[in-house]
Amino acid sequence: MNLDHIPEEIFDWLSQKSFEELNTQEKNTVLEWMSPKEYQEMRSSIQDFSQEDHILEQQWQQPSTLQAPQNGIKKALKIIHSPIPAYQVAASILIILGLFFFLQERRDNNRPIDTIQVKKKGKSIKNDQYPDSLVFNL
Amino acid sequence: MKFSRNTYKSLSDEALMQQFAHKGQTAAFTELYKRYFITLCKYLTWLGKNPTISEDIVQNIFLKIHQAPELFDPKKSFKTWLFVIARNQWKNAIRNEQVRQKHSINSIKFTSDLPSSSTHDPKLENHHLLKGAIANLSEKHREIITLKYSSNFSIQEISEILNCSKGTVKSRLFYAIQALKKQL
Repeated sequence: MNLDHIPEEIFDWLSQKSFEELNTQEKNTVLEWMSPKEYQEMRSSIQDFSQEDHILEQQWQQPSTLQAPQNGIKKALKIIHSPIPAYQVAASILIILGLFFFLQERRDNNRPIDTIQVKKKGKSIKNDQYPDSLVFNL
Repeated sequence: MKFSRNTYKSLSDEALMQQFAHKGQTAAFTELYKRYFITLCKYLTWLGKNPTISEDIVQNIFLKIHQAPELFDPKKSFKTWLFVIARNQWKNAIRNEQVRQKHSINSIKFTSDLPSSSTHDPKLENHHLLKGAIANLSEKHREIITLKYSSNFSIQEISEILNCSKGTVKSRLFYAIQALKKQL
């Protein structure tokens, strides 16, 4: 039996009609390929599959809009966990340190001055600058 | 020309794609999405994936179509094109992520929720038996039965999706139904 030549309508009838529901011409076509019992058994298998398919369908509600796939989160996690070249790490550290020092310096320069420290310079003491009353000539 | 929601419902898939690709009518795209979301999810789930992963793949497919609608050839059938993409995406998912073993149809949905010994609901038991029987079919048989009796493709369309002759499709479908009969 070369199934390549089986009329494709038979596959539609299997899901639509019982053997009794087929008309005479259809019955004759079916009988060339299988017995009525075989037809009914195959039809029963398809009905069982359709029943399961209907149950599976109920898992999904009719979608109203296209939602972002959950894969997006997975992709983001993949990016986070992907290896980073050493030079990129070094460059990032340098940039962060540079920014840190730059900002700190700017902050120091902009800080309001509340105390002025003046360094006193000691005058060189020479004998001739002392008042006369304090000078004792020995 | 103004389009109402009912107008979109009456348009063919190919006309809707034209509306979206050339006139930017997002409502046309939404209509296509509504038409095929569940059918595609079911197809991929029967192929052997977890329903959640199937949903993710379907969302990705529609996002890609949304981003590049010009890739669709208006001379061809949109539904067939969509299922070819879905099939390829599913194959890629298996190849790249090696999730087949982890999320096989046998291990996740069809055995993990088997009824406990205390359950004696005949309906539920029958449901699990049926699920198991379908799961035990080979991938090729499960796929061809799904394409014919869940996605409602013609033999010609299935041959285009699977890239094989109509004769091969008919013969494979016949043996797939026989195999299912044996399982039951």
